[in-house]
Amino acid sequence: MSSNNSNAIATKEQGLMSVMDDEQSQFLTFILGDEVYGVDILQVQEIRGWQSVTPIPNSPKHIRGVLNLRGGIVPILDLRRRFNMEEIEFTAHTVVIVVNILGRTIGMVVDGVSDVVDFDSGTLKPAPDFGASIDAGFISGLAPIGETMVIVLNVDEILKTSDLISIDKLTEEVMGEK
Amino acid sequence: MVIDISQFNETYLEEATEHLGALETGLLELEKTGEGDLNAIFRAAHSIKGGAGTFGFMKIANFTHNLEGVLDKAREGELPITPPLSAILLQAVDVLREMIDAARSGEEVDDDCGVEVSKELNSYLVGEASDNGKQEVSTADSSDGIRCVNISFKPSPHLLQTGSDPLNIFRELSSLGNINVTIDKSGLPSLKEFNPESLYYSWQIALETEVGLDDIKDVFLFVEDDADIEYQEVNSGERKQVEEILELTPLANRRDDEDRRQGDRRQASTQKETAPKETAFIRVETGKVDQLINLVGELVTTGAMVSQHSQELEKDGNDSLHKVVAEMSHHTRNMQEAIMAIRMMPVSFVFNRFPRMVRDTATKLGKNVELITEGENTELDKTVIERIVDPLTHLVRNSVDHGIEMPDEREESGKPAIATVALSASYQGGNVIIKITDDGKGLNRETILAKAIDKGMANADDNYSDEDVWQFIFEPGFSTAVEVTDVSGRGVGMDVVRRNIQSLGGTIRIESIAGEGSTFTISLPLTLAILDGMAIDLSGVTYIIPILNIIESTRPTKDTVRTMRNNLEVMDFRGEYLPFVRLKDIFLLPSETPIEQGIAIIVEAENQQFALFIDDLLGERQVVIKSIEQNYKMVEGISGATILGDGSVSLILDLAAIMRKATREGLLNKGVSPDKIQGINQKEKVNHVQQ
Amino acid sequence: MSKTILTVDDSASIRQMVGFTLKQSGFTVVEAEDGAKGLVAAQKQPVDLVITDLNMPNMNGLELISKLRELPAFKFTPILMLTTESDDSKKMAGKEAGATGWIVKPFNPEQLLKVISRVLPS
Repeated sequence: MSSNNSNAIATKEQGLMSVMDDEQSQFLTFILGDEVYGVDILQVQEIRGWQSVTPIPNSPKHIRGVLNLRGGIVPILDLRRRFNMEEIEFTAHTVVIVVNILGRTIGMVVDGVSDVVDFDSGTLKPAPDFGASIDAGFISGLAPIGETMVIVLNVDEILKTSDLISIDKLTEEVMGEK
Repeated sequence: MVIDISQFNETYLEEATEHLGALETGLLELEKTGEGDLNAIFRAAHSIKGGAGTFGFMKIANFTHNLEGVLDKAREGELPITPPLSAILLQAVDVLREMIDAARSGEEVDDDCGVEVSKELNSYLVGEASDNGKQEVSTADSSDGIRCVNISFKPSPHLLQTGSDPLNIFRELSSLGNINVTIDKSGLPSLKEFNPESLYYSWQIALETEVGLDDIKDVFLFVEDDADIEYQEVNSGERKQVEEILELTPLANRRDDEDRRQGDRRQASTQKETAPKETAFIRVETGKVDQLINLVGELVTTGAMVSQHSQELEKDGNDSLHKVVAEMSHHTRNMQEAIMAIRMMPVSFVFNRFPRMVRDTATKLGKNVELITEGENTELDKTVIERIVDPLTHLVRNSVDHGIEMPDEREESGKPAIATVALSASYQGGNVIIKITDDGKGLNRETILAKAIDKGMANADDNYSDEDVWQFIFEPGFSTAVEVTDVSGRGVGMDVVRRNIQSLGGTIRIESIAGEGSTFTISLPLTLAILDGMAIDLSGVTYIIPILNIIESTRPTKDTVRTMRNNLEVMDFRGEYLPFVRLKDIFLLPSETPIEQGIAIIVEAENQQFALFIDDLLGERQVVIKSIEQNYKMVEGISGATILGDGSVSLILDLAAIMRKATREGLLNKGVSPDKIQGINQKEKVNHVQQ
Repeated sequence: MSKTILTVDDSASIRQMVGFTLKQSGFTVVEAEDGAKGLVAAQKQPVDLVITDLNMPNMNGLELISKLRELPAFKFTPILMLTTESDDSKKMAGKEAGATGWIVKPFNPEQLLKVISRVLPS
């Protein structure tokens, strides 16, 4: 998957199949600043090119606004702003990774999509307390893929702490599941 | 084949709830007027029981058994429904409701649930033979070796006319073992008397089988009354044979007697049965309807996009396309309306619960209250119906509890001893108006005002209109429990009532005259799925304001907008000063539009009017409401979102929330300014002035 | 060709359950929610068997059975009534009206099919 193929859709089925065989899982890797990050492909619904969004009044700066995604209202999280990284102009490479998580659909703006890689989750290394440019709480671990070190994101944690969901509601839902 | 019937449980429970409603309404009607359709009441209980057994809700089935028995006696005229019996029957309705609710949520009710009521019901049945609900079939003595039975089967001539066919019987018998059938044609009449529709044959059947006599007799079950059937076991013990013949005779006799007796009665009750007007229904899962609503919403949105593009093309002289598109949008709108109508339910679904509640509350308080309902067929969206139940219940109970005086008090003030609470529903434009009116003592202005001043909500020096005073009871934390009420206080929960109504996009108003009574008027949108809105522009972003909130829009001037001592702005609107709130200050947006180039929309929320300053008006839109909370959190000042013709998202403003936010942040000072704004009681909607 | 069964019951849940069971067993099912509608439905296509509830608004089951029997097409058609254990008397009244047999409520799909096989040769 090339990084500017912004409308490519990674289906959940592909992800599911890869999980079946052993400990193998797949990550969608993407670029943010100088680093390569990864998210579990099972959480990814689709990848879209950046398009302008409707701003939400009085929302945190890292919430860019909301987007119409096939009739649904989807909030868009700017990962650069969330990780306090320097802001850049959006280009043709800028994409929105739409994830399905905690029963919600949310888009994340990143610099560009890199690839889908197979990965043996057994070799995931714990995140160091320092070294990465973002908060260690947002990192599930580090995965060496070839020569690059992919920072695997803990998307749940990022969404929970991004003021996207009212805490009451989240607690209610979590309690409800039990 | 195994068929899982649990898939029909939900349908059954829903149906049982409806029957229960009919049962309750019928009983209350009976109690009130002394007349009622006992057959319909019985049928409701009967249907609940029939389905309960079939779908495995044994507790419901068992409990309904006695209820049905009592109602059966009542409809046969053997048991008058006295007030004590009526009370027990209503209790039984409560027990059943509890059982049905429990079944719906998959819970078990306590074993002693309904035991008392059941016992009481049973006491009305004493004297009637208890059939224990078991069949009279004796236990089968099957599988004790091969037996040979000779059966003589002499059907009456009209057997064929009951749809029975001897061939079916022989076929079934042959499935039990070896049979040998001998036909006896001796009964055949002469050709002249022969009726081709009659049966003149009889048969001798020899059956060799392993099954018991009961199973054999079971084959003849449907024809035993239309035929002479004799069974003779050939090589079995004599004792057994005698026993069975003995058993057969009294059973048959008894059944005959009973049949004749009850048959006559049945005939009579059959004729009494009236035929109420029926409409055909299909049951559809609400999810499917919601999906349709969503899809048609998409269609309307896409239609708007097509329309926009066609208008652009029109410039090139292509107006035939535009005409077709306009027609298509017209059809789409009609389709949308038709689909919305599926979700509509009559308010009777809510109103029906009140006769019982009013009766119970009034009885408990020793009051005499008559409930009058009107406009029960007015239809509202299912969700609105469901969410209006609590606020309405609260208001009706309050009316009975606190509005209505005790009978002696009423007499002293020359009022009729029987008080009236009236519930009405009607259409008014795109809204439904629900009114709760009582002829009680009315709200106490002094008590409420004193309390409001005490709570710091009101200013002792100010001159409040009645309507302003009534508004205080909706304030959170306001309670007049000590003074006004004996139980809970009219103020308790009124803030919740108003909030619930507002969350439905509705409003509530109070009119009250001391000594004459109060009227609570609730205005609700017909549906929550679409909204008539005004698109506005602020800082290049489009927002939607519900038309419901808009009174008028106007272009302000430097002269009409003034800054007061406290730095707040007010606008002179037809001689009255309204708070002037800039939406950009609330949403923290960088708009620099000067006063004379923007628009002030005069809006009303929570009975408060103010001028909302925005950049521009973009025109009226009917929009499909989408939830933003599905994927995001609640946003203060925003009630939802919609998708515009170009596919972009636009947020819908929640003016009540915006007003609260503005008040909290010191951007709006309602009511208690030195330039006290007065006399804005006219709620008339003037046409929106677009400039 | 599959046989057509008309089921008449004011209870949607019973109608659904019966309908589902019959369809699963290869029958064609026509439904009506009261006697009057049943009478109309019965005349719209050939019917091989009628299953009717007794207690219904708008023409009860007994009336429906008598009325059906008056129609030439239903002179010999098997008609089963749904009745409850406590209505033993109804069986008799039903027979007098022209019913072929009865199915006792509560019943399960297997019992239903068994009774049907008794009056409707496969």
